[in-house]
Amino acid sequence: MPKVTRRAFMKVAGVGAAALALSDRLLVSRAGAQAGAQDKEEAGYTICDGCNGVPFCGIKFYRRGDIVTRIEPWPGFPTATLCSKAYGTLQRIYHPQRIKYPMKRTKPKGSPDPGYVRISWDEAYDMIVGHLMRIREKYGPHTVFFYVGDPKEPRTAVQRLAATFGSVNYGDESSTACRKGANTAEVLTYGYGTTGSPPGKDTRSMLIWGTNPPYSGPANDWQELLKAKERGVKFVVVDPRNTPTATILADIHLQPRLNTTAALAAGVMHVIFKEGLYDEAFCAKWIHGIDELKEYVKAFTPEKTEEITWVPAKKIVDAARLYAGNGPGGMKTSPQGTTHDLNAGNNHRAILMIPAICGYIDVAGGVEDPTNPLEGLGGNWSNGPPVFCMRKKMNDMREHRVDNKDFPAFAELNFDVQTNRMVEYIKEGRVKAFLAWGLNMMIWPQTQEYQKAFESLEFSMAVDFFYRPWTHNYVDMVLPGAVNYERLAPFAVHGRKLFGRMPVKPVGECKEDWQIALEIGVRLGHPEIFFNGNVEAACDDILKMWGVNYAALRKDIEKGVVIPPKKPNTYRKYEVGMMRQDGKPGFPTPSGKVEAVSLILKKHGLTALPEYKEGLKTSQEYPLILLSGGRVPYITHSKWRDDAPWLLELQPQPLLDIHPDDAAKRGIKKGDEVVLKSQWGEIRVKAKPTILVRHGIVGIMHGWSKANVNQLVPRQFDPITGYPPFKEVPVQVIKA
Amino acid sequence: MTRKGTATPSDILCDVLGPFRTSFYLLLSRAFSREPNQKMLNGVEHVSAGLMDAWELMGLPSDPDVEASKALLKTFFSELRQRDLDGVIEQLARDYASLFLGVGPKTVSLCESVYRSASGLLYQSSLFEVQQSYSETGMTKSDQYHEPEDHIAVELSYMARLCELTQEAVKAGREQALNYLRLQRLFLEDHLVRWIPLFSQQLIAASPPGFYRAMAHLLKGYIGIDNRLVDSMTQELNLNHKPRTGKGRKKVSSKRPTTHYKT
Repeated sequence: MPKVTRRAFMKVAGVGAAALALSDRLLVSRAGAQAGAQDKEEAGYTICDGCNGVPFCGIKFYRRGDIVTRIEPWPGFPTATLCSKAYGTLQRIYHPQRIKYPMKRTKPKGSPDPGYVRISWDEAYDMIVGHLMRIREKYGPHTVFFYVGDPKEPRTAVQRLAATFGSVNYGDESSTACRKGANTAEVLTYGYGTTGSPPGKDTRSMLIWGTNPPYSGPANDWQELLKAKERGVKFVVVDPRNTPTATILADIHLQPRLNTTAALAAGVMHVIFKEGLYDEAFCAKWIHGIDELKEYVKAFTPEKTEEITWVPAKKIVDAARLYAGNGPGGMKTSPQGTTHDLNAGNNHRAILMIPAICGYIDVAGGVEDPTNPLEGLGGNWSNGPPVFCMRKKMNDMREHRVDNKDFPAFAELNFDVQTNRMVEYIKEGRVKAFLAWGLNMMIWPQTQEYQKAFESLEFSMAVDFFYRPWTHNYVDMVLPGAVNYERLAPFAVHGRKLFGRMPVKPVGECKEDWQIALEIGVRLGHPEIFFNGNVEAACDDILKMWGVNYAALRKDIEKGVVIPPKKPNTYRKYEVGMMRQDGKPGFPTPSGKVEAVSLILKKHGLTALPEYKEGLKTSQEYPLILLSGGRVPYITHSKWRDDAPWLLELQPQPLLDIHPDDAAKRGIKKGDEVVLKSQWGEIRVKAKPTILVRHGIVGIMHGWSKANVNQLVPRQFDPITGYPPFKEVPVQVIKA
Repeated sequence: MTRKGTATPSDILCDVLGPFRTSFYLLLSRAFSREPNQKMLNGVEHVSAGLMDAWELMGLPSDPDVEASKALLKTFFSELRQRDLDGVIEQLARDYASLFLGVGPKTVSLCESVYRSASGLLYQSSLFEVQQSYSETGMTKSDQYHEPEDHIAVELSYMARLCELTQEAVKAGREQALNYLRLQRLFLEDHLVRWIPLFSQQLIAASPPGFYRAMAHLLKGYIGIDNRLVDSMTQELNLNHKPRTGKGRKKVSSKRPTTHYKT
């Protein structure tokens, strides 16, 4: 029992008032508070951003008040087979390390600790707008670079912000390392972007090149491929690795050496031409440069091709016969995997020429082009509707793009800027500020050079869910982004079906990406253009194109709203003027044909035929080739490491896939620590001997902050796409 | 025999322990609610010194954590006088961000759910439980505070409020005072003693010697003894207010064994 003394009484009485003054009054009387709001469970709807692809999968979730308690597939949503990544998003929203407040650095750049402190949104916005106004005034608007990494969702709003601010320099992860390389090759060749189409009922064969849908695509895509296999469709799968796609689907699996794509494609085309398996009429009428192509591939005999690619000559012949002899044939290419080398653009173009010479383009069961894409989108939904994004204004300013000289074909064909030469742009003073949503500096080869360059920017900020030192130690401000359950924008588009979202209130002071972009726009002095910061009003501005609004999407939340197609589904649209904006027959390329010889590449002095070019050469010192970026299921890119420990359990640390023979030669056993090194850098990882990679190739996922494989990749770039050689670096592996 | 519901001269124990405990909870709540400012530092210095003196004067058992806190605070405040105050406040804001706001090498969460749920996540069942407790006493978390209900500052704030309500009730109605003490004991046993020791330990390990390590020790030491203080107050009220007949009032006791009781 405590003793009560007068002195004790006086002491306590003496601090009472001071203690009371410390109170933050965190609890208030319940009068007026919503009684029992959190007792009732209600449904909410959102999309999973666990993959990098769009459209994503639909999540129906249950909430008590603003707290998400559980999730399930969204009935009625076209893709809703929730995998562990969707469940992982539950760990992300309530992760104890999530950033919940705007944070500002207090120590100079270059300090080992940036000394971040919490600030209010008002202070953050004042600082951003102050710097933007000052920099625009002093150096011009184009020195402010706007960037969207992952998720892709804010692209639409951020492009509008860049355009309104007056900077043409907007880039994203697609225009750095992902989709835009292959897309550029596709537009150069066909006049439009396509990674192929799912096998249809008329499809008899499929060419799958460099992609593994069960690990990297929505579950539905894989189901479609399995169904096709059951129907008897023949599959040629090209992948240096033994993937489930290869082992389950392939009638013929070709495992080429990395960066020999154009040679292998030339070898296949050599057989198709030689054996008369090509569509002569289509080639003659619709391929520009068909004679040059025929002439070029003559040298690629199966034997010669085997020498270059390591693929046995017989397999090349068999693959050509299987695909060209079983028409119509479909195609499925990687959105980016075949463009991670120094011949990226033409490697990918070479693949695209195979179905073209077979006459499979836009025929039923072939490489189909949708007749009725949703009007006003102008491509993939993730890029944003051109009108809302103010693409015309951006186009009018394109002479100010920082990438014009480095990558002229890329710059001509894309609205987003190639960022790989950001180091030089900053050093030359052409970029003074960098505003990023979802930036990960590990995306760049020789990451440390970009980190260093960022230190000399006059201002930089990044919106993110977590503090990631390899990126945020080099910027001035980190803003807390709302996660998928807390975002209203963007709504989802699946073909001609639209779905809204019904989010919960963000935790802490997080804000959704769109809201941040809109509020910056408002504070820059454009309240009307940025809808007074109202995200739903911004969405409605887009939705009005289709005669609907967000309220209508909410009303039909589960089954979505269908925008009826305007034309009956047709094929060979190039014959009837349905592919070109001018309504004339032909493909939307400069020649009006599929371009084996690209007029745009020719104009820019780049290699116009899809020629093979030997890239980085292996040597005695570096005898193996590095394939970075292959995935285990359910980890995508640099996502899903510490953010979602459930997923990290699938692979808690970086592992190097190495063929058992290559491992044995080096005395390496499973679990051994090894040094993986190239001429440009080295990392330490654990070895995983496996037959999933072929001899001579080693594979590793990217995105491990303690073993950033991009430190091994040089800052050399394909002249067409601007992509670095993520998948062709000569390396050595040594037991540590 | 006293009139039912009025204080007796010996309720003086409650008169001391009541404000003592309220002040402790207010001090600890503010220590973790947000970053320090000058007013807060002045208050913490004054209140912590007074409370630690009172601790000794009341003959409460010496506690190694309270002692450690005392030494750390003494050093902190004496150094503070020799340094630029704004600089110290900025450094404390950095420390707060680094320790609690997700921008440091190791984040120590300030929320009970992280320590009490199998998933180790925020916004788990602890939150709904404490929300229920607040609700039962007519309280709810202020919308102005953007942290969850089971944030340490809110939980400690709730205890401070219960202490205040007890004090008011001691004067007005004994039954209600005992009920508030019962609620405090339940909240301590259902929540605070179940996670504060682990939280404090993690904070002590993660923080350099200085303000937050001192507050972690003080929190740990105080939560370790507060159950006893609740018991003392309960006993005192029971002794002074024996029921007139057997049908009288409910016996006030804890629903659970006091395994977390610090000895």
